[in-house]
This record gives sequence, structure tokens and C-alpha cells, in this order.
Amino acid sequence: MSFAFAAPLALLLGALIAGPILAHLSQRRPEQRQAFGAMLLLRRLVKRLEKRRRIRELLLLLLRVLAVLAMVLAVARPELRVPGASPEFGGKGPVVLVLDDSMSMAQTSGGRTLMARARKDALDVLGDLPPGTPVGLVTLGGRAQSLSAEMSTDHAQIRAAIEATDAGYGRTDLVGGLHQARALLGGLPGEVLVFTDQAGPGVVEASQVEIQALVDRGGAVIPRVVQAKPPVNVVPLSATYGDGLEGGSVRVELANFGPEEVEVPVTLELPDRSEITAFTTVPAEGRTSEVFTVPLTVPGGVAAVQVDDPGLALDDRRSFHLPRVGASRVLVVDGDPGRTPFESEVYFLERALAPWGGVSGGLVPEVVSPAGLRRLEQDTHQVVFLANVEDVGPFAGTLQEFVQEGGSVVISVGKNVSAQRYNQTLSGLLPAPLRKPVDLAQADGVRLQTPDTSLPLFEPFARGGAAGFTQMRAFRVFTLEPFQESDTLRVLLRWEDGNPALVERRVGQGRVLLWTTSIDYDDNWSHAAVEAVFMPFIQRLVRTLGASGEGVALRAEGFVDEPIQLELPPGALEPQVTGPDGQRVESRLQRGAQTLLSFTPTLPGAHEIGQPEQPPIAQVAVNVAPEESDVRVSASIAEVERQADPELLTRSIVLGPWMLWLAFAALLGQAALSARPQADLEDA
Amino acid sequence: MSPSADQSAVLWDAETLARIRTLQLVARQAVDGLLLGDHRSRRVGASVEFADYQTYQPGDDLRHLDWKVLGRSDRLVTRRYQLETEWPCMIVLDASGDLSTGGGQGPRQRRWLSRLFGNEQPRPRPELDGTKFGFSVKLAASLAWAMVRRNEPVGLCVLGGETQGHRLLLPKQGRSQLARIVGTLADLRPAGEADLAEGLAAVGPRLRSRSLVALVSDFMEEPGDWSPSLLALAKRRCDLAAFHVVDRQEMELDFDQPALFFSPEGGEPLQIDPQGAQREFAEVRDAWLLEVERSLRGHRARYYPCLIERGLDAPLRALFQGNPGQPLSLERPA
Repeated sequence: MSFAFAAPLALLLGALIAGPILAHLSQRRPEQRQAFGAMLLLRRLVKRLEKRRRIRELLLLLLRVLAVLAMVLAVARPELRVPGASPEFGGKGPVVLVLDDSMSMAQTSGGRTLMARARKDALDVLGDLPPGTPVGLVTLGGRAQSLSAEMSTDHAQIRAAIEATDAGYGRTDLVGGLHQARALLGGLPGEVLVFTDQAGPGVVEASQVEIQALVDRGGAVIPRVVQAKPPVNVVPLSATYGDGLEGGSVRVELANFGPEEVEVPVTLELPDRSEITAFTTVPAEGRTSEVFTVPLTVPGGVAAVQVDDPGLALDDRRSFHLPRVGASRVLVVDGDPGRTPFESEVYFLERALAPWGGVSGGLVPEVVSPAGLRRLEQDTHQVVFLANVEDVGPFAGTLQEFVQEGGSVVISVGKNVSAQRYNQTLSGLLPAPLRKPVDLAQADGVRLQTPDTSLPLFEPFARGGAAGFTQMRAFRVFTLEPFQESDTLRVLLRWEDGNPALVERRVGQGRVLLWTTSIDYDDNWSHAAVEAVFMPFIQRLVRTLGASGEGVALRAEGFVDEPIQLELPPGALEPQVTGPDGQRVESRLQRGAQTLLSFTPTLPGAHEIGQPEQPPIAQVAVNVAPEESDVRVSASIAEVERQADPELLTRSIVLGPWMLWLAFAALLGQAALSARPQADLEDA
Repeated sequence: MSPSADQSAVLWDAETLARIRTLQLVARQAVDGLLLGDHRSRRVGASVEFADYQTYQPGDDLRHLDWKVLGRSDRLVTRRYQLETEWPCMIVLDASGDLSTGGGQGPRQRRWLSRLFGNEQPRPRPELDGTKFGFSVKLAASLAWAMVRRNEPVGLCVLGGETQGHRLLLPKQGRSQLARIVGTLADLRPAGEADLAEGLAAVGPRLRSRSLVALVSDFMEEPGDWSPSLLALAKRRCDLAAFHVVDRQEMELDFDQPALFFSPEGGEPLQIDPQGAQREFAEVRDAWLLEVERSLRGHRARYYPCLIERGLDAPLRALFQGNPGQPLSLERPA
């Protein structure tokens, strides 16, 4: 800030200040003398009024000095230069209009969206420009783009482009918008008018370099701010599936970016289109969470959370992946319950399936006795564990049908298992006929070989942990009749002595796996159940058998207007991407060592990838960028520009007229004070 | 009455003689009408000393009937008492310079002219009408006349002022005393300071018990200075009647132009704009009046504020009728 005088010599007139001072010092005393017999009262009066009189006279002196001083300053024509003033639109030279059409501009305020207000402001500016002024138009929602290839004097075309612009789901790309504006100007100075709400954390700050570049070329960035007062927006930030009653729970985190506490209805929309609604109070500029209990049975897929928010509607829905719930139950048949739960054949299996006793991942084990096999249902159960069951003959047909229809059976043996009986009753399911068990206790048992991590069952152990399988020992195992491995019959794990440990057989649409020793901790059979790798192995096993919650094999997430790339399984044939509106989304497939599919969604919601009329091979939950939901203003473009060049944005304030008014006011004040009746007493 | 007969030591000038006549006339007019029918009430029953018996006559007051004599001798007689006729009165007159002011103060003396030509003339006396001093002198003369008419001893004590006469005349009866008092009053010029405290302290011990002290003053001294001296009078059971002489123009600061206000008693003058100080002055004045009245009444004095434009009648009537007096009111009669 600087201060200058246009006529500094006029300050010499400041000597006139001496006038009122001399007048004050030489106040004329009245000539008349008056004998007065009540001087006692006057002396008392003087004491009382002395202080008031001095203040009044001092005030008079100040007013008179101020009047003279202000007049002198008015003649000297002072000028105050204030740096950091807001840039003002001059309407000269080329002009680039930058329209913010990001999602936050869809806020409603006063019955109109911010976008509508910005459009009107831009059209007004365009209308006020002199004909022939070069004008460019840039939008910065999602990915900034120039709507005019070059600066144009065809204002009608620009006008039409402005009228066609509307707020989308994209985030604010202010940096890109300013870059496009700079490119349009082609290095020439010009004015860049940015019609924006300046919302979003860090958006404005990130544009400092571009603003600096524009300013360095003699240009000016002029913000035309449109804001909702106050900004109001409630948004679901995230939704997470987890443990809980019944089929688990979905925890929804909500944020309120407005200045007042609001109560909003929140609706959880499950993949089967069923809905659960709750009302939630979200504190002002704070967050809260709401927990929904998921039903016992829900198909996996993309679910969504919806809030009813009057401020900004475009971000009221958040999609997320919900695993398959309920239908993934595992039926565990305990063939040797024992006297206590700890002596049960499936004690360790049960804990390996549900370590926390809950339904994490959608896994719900149901433990029954052999007689409980009659409860086996195709719609409810996916995997059946037969643990040391003595006789499954009565249910052999049921099991056969179950596997044929797509279920899986895992058979583990033990002291109750008779090779002869199994071979007779389960011949249609066993991978190979059983032989008598082999006792290996004297040789300190036999260990597992390291598994082949290229197999889908052991794929997670490729990163590490495969060696843990070699710690699993067995002291007695069933051997099998020799068999030929094929596409439907193969050995997944072997003991060190080469005998099969885990054999898989495909039967119909399902699979049967045979574990050739006990699945329990038994000094006579096996210690495998207490090894560290046992639990992740069992978890992976049931997931591989289709008992996991995943609805589809491939899940992904992404944001609107941002490219998404997926690695598809080998052999995927020209998959299509279908958006939430049922329309096909443009995508690109790259085939090479990996099959990569990439596309850029323009709408939030569930996107499915697959062949037409076929179950999807992948689902993508697309949402709007969460930072765009923060409609609060974090920084000012003008402030950033001031930091870039304080001298450029300097406002001159001519103080001369103000000084004249000040002098006039001071004169009026002193006149009023002088004319006011007062107790004018003074010691002579 | 011829005052000059008893005032052979003092030679009055013509102006003084004229004022003596005026004072006599004024006092007589003020007092004569006032004392009509007042003698009996002041004389009867004023003493408790027994004199003799008298045969009861119809119309005598039954309170004086001697019931013991009636019981012993079956005769109706009344008891007669010796009348106490002396009610000595000391008039204490404030003749300070401040008394010279008021609505009718005399022409300004051009001292610079007198000094220039070396013929400085004695300061003229204030008019008897319209000035605080004139009112005070007339009031003192009227009091003296009334007391003489009642055959009471009367005296005069002058505080401040300039006179060729007596400053202190102890109470005596008779017309010669009245002549001395009137002559002193007529010759008196207001000057200097009264110093009420010292004057009252000096005169108190010289008074007889149960005397009437008529203090005539404008009380333009700090009450805190003179009020302790009233204790000396109270100790002698004196009946103090305070006549507070005030001038409306001074009490209302009723002046048009800013001026240098000065006291005739001396001291620094004060430059004031009377129009601008009216409200604050009224507050100071009311507080001071209340202070004076409370100081006097606190020593059992009767307080008679005397606004000079309202004349002598009201204060004199209040005194002789035993009225305790009313606070000063500056309201103008409708």
C-alpha cells in the first residue's frame, strides 16, 4: 500500500492550521464586568463544569484543526494505492469465459442452480462486450475442455455454447480450465473470467501455477463467483459391508457440508432392488454413520445408498459392492461329535470357517449331525463338509443331486469311515475308490508337499505362506485306488510320499473334494488342523467352491469422468460395458499378455461388463468424486492472484473529495458545538 | 423621635439624615400594623413568679383559680403572676460587600477616572429599595422598631461594612437606643467580608440567656465555616431567627451577556456566559439553599428566606407569629 500526493507543494498551506490554534489561544474575553454577590455559587459551579469545559474546548480545537488539515489535504489531492484489490473486469481486449460445470454447480439456491446463475452472468458479460471482441469459451467440469477451437468474434456461437452448458458429475478441473484459457489466448494478454463457486478442497490452491502463468503474460484472472448462501449438501461418503446380526450389516458414513444440522432419509438399495430406509441426523459440517442390518439372504452385486438432499442432488447416491449373503452357507456334518465340544470332529474346522463366530465375508457355517443331512437344500447351502461320517448311505442320493446341481462336497475321513462302505454308497461322488488307511505314525507322520500356487485354490499363497502347508502332518491316511488325472479329476495336494492328500472330482455342475485324512486334530490321524495355514486354506477352499460372498468374479470401483482399466480373464470375447442407464458405454479392449478393458464412465452407478444376454463377468461401482461434494469454499481465486502479483491488482483511491467532505463535516461540527448553549466558565 | 439628640458624638451628613427618616418611616409602617393585638399574647403567661391574690371576677381565666384557698376558706380568688417584660433582642446584620449587589445596586463608580483626577469620592450607599443591603437595613430597623414598641431591649451587631456609628450596641430599652440603631444603619456602607463565624462567636457570650438573635445575612459564606458558631448561641438558649436575604436576579443568574463576574469583597473574577450556565447554576443554587437551611435548622434556628422583591411583611409576620419559616421559593406570583 502506498500513499502519494498529486500536488505536494499544496501541503505548505498546512500553515493555516496556526489560525484556529491562535484563535483558540486568544479567546476574546468579555469587556463587561458585573458585580455579583453570589460568587460562592459561581465558584462551586466552576468546579463542577471545569472538566466538561476543557473537553469541549479541546474538541473544538481538534475540529477546527481537522477542518483546516482536511482542506489542505484536499488541495494536495492525495491518492491511496491499495494492493490486493479484487481484479475488475475491464472488457478490453480478448476475453476467455471459463464456465465451471462441475457437479457442485448443480447446487440449488433460491430456486435456481448455481449453473443457471453462472450461465446468466456469462451471457450478460458476453452481451456487454463490444462487437468484434475475440471471445473463447472453456468448461472445467470433469476434464476441462475448450468449446471454441480458437478465439472467435462470433458471439452468437459462443452464446449458444454457453446456453447448452449444464452441470455434470465431474470434479472441478480449474487447473485444466485455466490452461485451456491460456492456450486460447496464445500467449497474448487477455482477461479470463471464471464463473465458478470456488468449491472443493484444494481446487483453487492447485491452480496457482496457471494463474501465475496468465498473470506473467499480462493477463488477468477475474473470478465471477456464484455461491449458495449458505452452501448445503449431505452426501453418503462410503458404504461398507461387515459383521452383524442376521446377514451382516452395512455401515454408511454420511457427511454434511452445510452450516446447519439436518435430518435426512437414507435408503439402502440392495442388488435385488429391495430397499431399507432410515432417518439420520447429520451434524453441521460434520459426519455421522448409520448401520443397516442386511437380510439373511441377499444376492451379491452392486448395492447403493441414497440420501434425500435438497441442496445438491447429483451426489446423493453412492454405489458399492455387496457380497452374496445367506446362500453361501456351509453345512458341516459332524461324524464324531464326542462328549464335549472340544472333542468334536469339526471343532477346528468350524473355527477355521468362522474365526469370530460371525458371518464375516458372508460365510455362515451350520453344524449338524449326520441325520441333519436331510436339511440339505440346494437354495440354502453351497458346500457340505462330511467330517468322519460313518454312514452317508441314506443321503447318498441327496448328495449326488446336490453336487449335480452345482453344490460342492468336501469329504474328510477318520476312524468312523469304512472304505468298503464309502466305496459302495458314494461311488458316484468319490474321486477314486478308497483303500484301507495306511498308518505312518512310526515314521513320525508324513508332511504335505508344497502346493502348486498356479492352481486357483492356492493362488493367494503365491505371495507367501505356501511353505506352511509342509508343516501339516498326517499319521494315518487313506490311500486310493490308482486313477488317471483328467479335466474332471485331479490331485490338488499330495503327501511327501506321493499319495494324494486332496483330490478333486467334477460331478455335473459341482465338485467333490476328498481329504484323505482326518480334518480334526487327532494324534492318530493328523495335526493339520492346528497349523497356521489351516484356516486360510479352509477359507480359500470354501470360496473356491463358490461358497464365498462374491457375486461375480471381478469387482472394481471408479469415478465419473475418470478412466477405468480392468484386467479380464483370458478368453473374454469382446465384452461390452453397460452403464446404469442400460446404454452401452464406449470401451477399448487391449489384448496382449493380459486382456485389458478400459472405459471412462460418464454416469455414477453400477456398470456391468460382459456379453449381451450373459451373466456379467465384472461389475464396476462408479461414483462421483467425493471431494466435489464438499461445496464449501476453501480459497479464493482473487487471493491466489494477489499472491501471484500484488502490484498488478492495485486499486487507487482518490481521497481529495473525501477530504473536502471531511473538512465540511468538521466545520459543521465545530459550528454546532460553538452554537450550543453551554456553561462557559473560565477562571479569569 | 430625634436621633441626633443621643448621637452628639456622631455628625450625620444630609444623606444619612435622610436615610434615617426614611428608615423610621419604613419601620413604623412595617411594624405598626403587624403588632396590632399582639401585646397580650406576648405578655400574659410569660412568667411563673407569683405576685398576689385577687378576688375572682366573672370573666377571669378559671385556670388561675386557687382551689386550695377555695377549699380552706370557701372564697373564690385567682392567683396573679408578675409579668416578665424583657425579651432582649440582638440584631446581627451582615454588611459585607456582597450585600451591595442586587437589582437596585448603585451606579458604577469609575475608579480609574477618580484616580486620574485625584478626587476619589466615598463610595455611594446602595439604594434602600431593590438591593440586598437596603432590604437588610430596612429589616433591621423594622425589627428594632418593633422591639422598642414592645418595650423590649434591642441591640445591634454589624458584621463587615463601613460606618461612623457603633458596630456593637448591646440590647437596651428605650427610644434612644432605637435612635442609635437607626442612625448606625443609615450611615452603614456595605464593604469587606462579614465573617459570620467570628462575628457570631464574638457576640454570643455577650448576650443574656434566652435572648432573641435576629441574624440578617445573605449567608454567602461556606456553611461549613459558620454553622459551628451557631452552637455558642444554642448553648445560651438563644432564640435564633435567621433572615436569609436573597436577590432573584442573582439566584437565577439572570444576565443577558457574558461578563466578568466579580465579588465586591474581592477575589478572582470569573468569566461566564450566563445563558449557557443556567441549568447547572440552578442545580448548584438549590443544593446550596438546602445546605444553608439544614445548617440553620440543625441548630434550632428559625429560617426566614427573604426574597427582597416580596418585601418585609412576610418575614416579620412569620417571626412575631412564631412561624418556623418556609423554604425559599423563587416561583413568581401568578
